[in-house]
Amino acid sequence: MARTADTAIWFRETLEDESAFRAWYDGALPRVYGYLLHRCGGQRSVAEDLTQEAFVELVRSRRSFDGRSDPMTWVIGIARHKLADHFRRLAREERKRLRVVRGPVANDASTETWAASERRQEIWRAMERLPTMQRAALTLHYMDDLPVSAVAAELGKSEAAIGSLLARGRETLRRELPTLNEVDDD
Amino acid sequence: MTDPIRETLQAPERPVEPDVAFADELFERLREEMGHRARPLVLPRRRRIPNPSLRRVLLAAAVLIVTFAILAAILWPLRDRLVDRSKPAHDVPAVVNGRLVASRAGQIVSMEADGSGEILLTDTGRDYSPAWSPDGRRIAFIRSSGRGSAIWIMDADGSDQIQVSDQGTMVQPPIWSPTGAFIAYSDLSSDAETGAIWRVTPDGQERVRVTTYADGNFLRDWSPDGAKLAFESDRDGDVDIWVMNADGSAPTNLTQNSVSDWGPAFSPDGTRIAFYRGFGRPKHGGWSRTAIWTMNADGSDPVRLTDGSRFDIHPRWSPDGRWIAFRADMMSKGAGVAVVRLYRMAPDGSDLRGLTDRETQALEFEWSPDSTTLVFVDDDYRGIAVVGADGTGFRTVATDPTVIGIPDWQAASERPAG
Repeated sequence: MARTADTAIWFRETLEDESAFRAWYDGALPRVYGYLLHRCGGQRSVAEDLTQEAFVELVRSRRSFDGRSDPMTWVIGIARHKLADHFRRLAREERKRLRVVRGPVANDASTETWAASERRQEIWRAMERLPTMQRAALTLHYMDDLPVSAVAAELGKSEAAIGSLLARGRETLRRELPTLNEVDDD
Repeated sequence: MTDPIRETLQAPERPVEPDVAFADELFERLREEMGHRARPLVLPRRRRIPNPSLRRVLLAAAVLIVTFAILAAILWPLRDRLVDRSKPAHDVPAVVNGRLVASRAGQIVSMEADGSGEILLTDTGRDYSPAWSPDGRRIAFIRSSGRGSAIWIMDADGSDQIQVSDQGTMVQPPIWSPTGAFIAYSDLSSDAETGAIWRVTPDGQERVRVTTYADGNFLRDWSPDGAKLAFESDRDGDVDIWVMNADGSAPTNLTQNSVSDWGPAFSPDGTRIAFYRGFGRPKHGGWSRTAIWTMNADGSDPVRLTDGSRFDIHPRWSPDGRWIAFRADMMSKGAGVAVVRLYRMAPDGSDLRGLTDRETQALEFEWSPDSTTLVFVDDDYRGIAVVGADGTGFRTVATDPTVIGIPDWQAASERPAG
């Protein structure tokens, strides 16, 4: 898309005009919320917290939006940072043996609203049992289609560490989900 | 061989509607965030009571009253020789301005231009961007819902509300054609049909997408004869001013260049188009400044009117064609936009005058039908304010922190009786 400065100015004006912002917000909110809900195992309260953090960050940093991406892409990018922060917080908790948030099938949203299929829900149940960093790496690599280097940047780890996390996560999923035995590493 | 993990996790996701209360609470939080950021001062100017300007006004009023009393005492005995009683004491304005319509907390209200006589027209809490029809009888507006937003129309008293457009993702404010026969709008959804311009009839029977190019179209204005639409498009690489026939045919780029141009507005006689253009050296992915320009309606004879020392945006002609008003964002180092002021100038760029002071955050604005006054959203005080085209007569007509978006001013010369 050719818009850069123009998108930046348009979006700045959109944020300043509350009518336009509300219209944009009403369209963007379900996407951001859905994005986060799908990636935190359907835990509504977590998705709400992260959605709020993402939008507040968007408003606070709106002057830095340079228009090189679509505003929707930008806010999803912010949401991804918040998700990565969330995973890192969880990992720290895990290290302290305080697994207060994570748990099998911990979602409090109805299955229909966030898990598109039974298989997806099955994988998520298995992923919920993974160590947080393995789950984080799988989520960002597969759901967001981020290359390993970008996952490493988001999670503050080396590429080698992410490769290892992905390999171990996939191995665990294969073990726990017999239907995935035909998995072929790519 | 496929990868079931990748395949399953990458399955298309639907947006998920969060709880409505959460959505509204978060929006309020964001509004507060933006309000705090927009104010360069700790306290809004008019909340510091008493303040120096108020004292000056009161002092001036007292002096005027005393002077008037002395003059009256001297001149009263001579009144019959000084005043021709065969004529009214002063001229009655030729046009009486009509009612304002605005969105407050997602409810559309109308009121007299002095803020009195407010009528609640909608109460959904999700209605925005009201716009009077040219005959002042109907109001088009955006109604958002969990599934997106659409253009709706109602009568001036709020009755007969009907949806006239398809549901969109990011529907932008409706713009009536000069005859009232059509309403056009942009839908800036970030899906495949980003930035499409649509034209609908007020009865909703005809819904036509008038741009075939898929991306980056933003409608700004109708030509005064209703034959053409002016819009921004980046189909040639950078954003340019385009016009096309109202049915979408014959799209023409009027500013084929390597700089960005936005915000076309036809002059009332249709001969010129005002717009704003990136100015200076692009940096950090954005233009360092913008300036107001005009050109002939065919793109010839472009003339720069402002010096490019600010972010001058959104030129709007007064209905009588005498002035171009615009909004200027002043930047401050490290703090982004610090002050937003309204200016007006003659169409040749002369007689430039600031209409609002440096402490007023004047956001969206609109001319009164008689070209004497501008109404704007005062973001400093969170309300609707008016100011004369000569910079005098600033006053706040509605002080509601939930005012959203630009108020629209009914054309009272065609205002229906009763």
